[in-house]
Amino acid sequence: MAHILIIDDDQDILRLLEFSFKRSGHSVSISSNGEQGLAQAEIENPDLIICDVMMPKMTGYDFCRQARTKPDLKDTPIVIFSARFQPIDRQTALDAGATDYLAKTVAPDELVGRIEELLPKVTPPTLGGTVGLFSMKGGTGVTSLAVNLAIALTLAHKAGAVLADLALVGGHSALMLGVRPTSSLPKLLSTGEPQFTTEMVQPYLVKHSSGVQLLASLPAFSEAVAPPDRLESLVQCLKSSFDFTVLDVPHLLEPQFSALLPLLDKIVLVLSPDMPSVQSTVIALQGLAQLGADDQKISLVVNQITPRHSLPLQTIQKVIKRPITLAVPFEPEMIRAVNSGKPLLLASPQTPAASAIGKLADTLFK
Amino acid sequence: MNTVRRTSSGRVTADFFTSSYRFSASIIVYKRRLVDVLADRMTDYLDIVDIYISRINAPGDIVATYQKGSLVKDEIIFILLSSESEGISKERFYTTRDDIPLFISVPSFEILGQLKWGSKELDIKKLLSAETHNFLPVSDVTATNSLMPTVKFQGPMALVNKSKVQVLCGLNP
Repeated sequence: MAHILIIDDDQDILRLLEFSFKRSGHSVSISSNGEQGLAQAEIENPDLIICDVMMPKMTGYDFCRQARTKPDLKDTPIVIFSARFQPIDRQTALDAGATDYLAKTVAPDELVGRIEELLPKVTPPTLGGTVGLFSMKGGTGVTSLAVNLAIALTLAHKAGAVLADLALVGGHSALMLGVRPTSSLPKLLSTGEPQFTTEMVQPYLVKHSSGVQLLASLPAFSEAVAPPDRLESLVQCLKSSFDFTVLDVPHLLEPQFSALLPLLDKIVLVLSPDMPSVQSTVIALQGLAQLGADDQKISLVVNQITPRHSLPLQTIQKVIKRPITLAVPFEPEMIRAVNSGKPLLLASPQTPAASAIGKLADTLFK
Repeated sequence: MNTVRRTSSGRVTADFFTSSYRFSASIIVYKRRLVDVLADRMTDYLDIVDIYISRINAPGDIVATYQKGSLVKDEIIFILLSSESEGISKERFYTTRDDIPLFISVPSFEILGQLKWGSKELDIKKLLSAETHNFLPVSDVTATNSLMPTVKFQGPMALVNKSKVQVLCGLNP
């Protein structure tokens, strides 16, 4: 199933195509002019756009030209569907940036067939990567974000994801997923083997119903240690065994965890909208810079864990001197989700916070 | 198919050619066919809507768009349609006819296509003068600009303005 945006000023055609594509199992949104369609496309980021040529305000050719200048739309397939059916019209559309051109002489079912032929070519290949989430200040909701992000990645990409709770002792990932692990990360790290393999790691994982595999921390007190080389080898192993590796990192700036920095494709620095958290984030950013972390990999997520007295995002951005990647709105359902062991993304997927976490997954691994 | 070309509002979209321009536009035909609208002798004009104008030397580029306009019927050289049915009058649509290859010269264009002809012998003079319709339906058309032969237009049906025909050549069936 793909999400298709159809742009045409002819209401009859919009209705006809909407019906045809929905009947074929696709989700469809429609727009009746190029300007509105362009704004809609930027928000929805559809899998494919079908666009008429002859429209008021903006022709289909202009739509293509402008869409190709937008970072989110530069690779989105655009199929021009026009009553102008000459070979020169096809060439003009392709020159403007269209992916393909179909004349309005085709029957709706034939059009659906042609579009579906295009879709497999345009469906993005399964992505993958390793993301580490951390915060310099406690209580910012890193673990709940990591849990839901792992689920979002699994569901969105139908790919294998592992969540490693690197807290060693007292991590809450298992609790939030409602699973009871029989083994844990400190036990795995204490095995004598110099290099980790998939076979070695597998017995220490517990599978959640969403498909996410969890490497949990120890639920009881222990003086567990994580030698940097062992952690590094473990993360290497997880990276090679799973499409997505989500690391809930207690403190990325400490020596045993900072060794993981080169292995991370993305670093999510979580903060809450309060002054202490903002101050800690500034320090964290300085620390990451000193450790040589690639600035491009860092995303800032404001987790609005408190509904009132929050600092405005603009103020936070001004203090931190960099843009906020995403703000996760305060969500009362999150507390219920944590307490019930059913992650927000599964318990209340329609909530704004769940949507924001889904968007974070899309933003990180596009 | 015509579920897209002729919508429920009775609009037909076509390319209207003069010697210098290509007008991609729609015309409201209601329940009639375009060829019958053209044959309406009550008016010398054709009301068109949603007009997209291209110059003939760059026919893919849209240089201007307008919501409504009137075309002088006599100035139209030919109209290119995406459907054969719009070009054949309702009373002639179900008649069995042979295809006759045609060459037509009109200002700025040479047109190759097929004529549906029912008589045994092709009577060109009769074809051009006696018919009630002032636009001649030609199928499987290729229209080539005579000054810029790389500029070509193709379609299943064209309606050629008989008053613009310089020469019409055909073969007997």
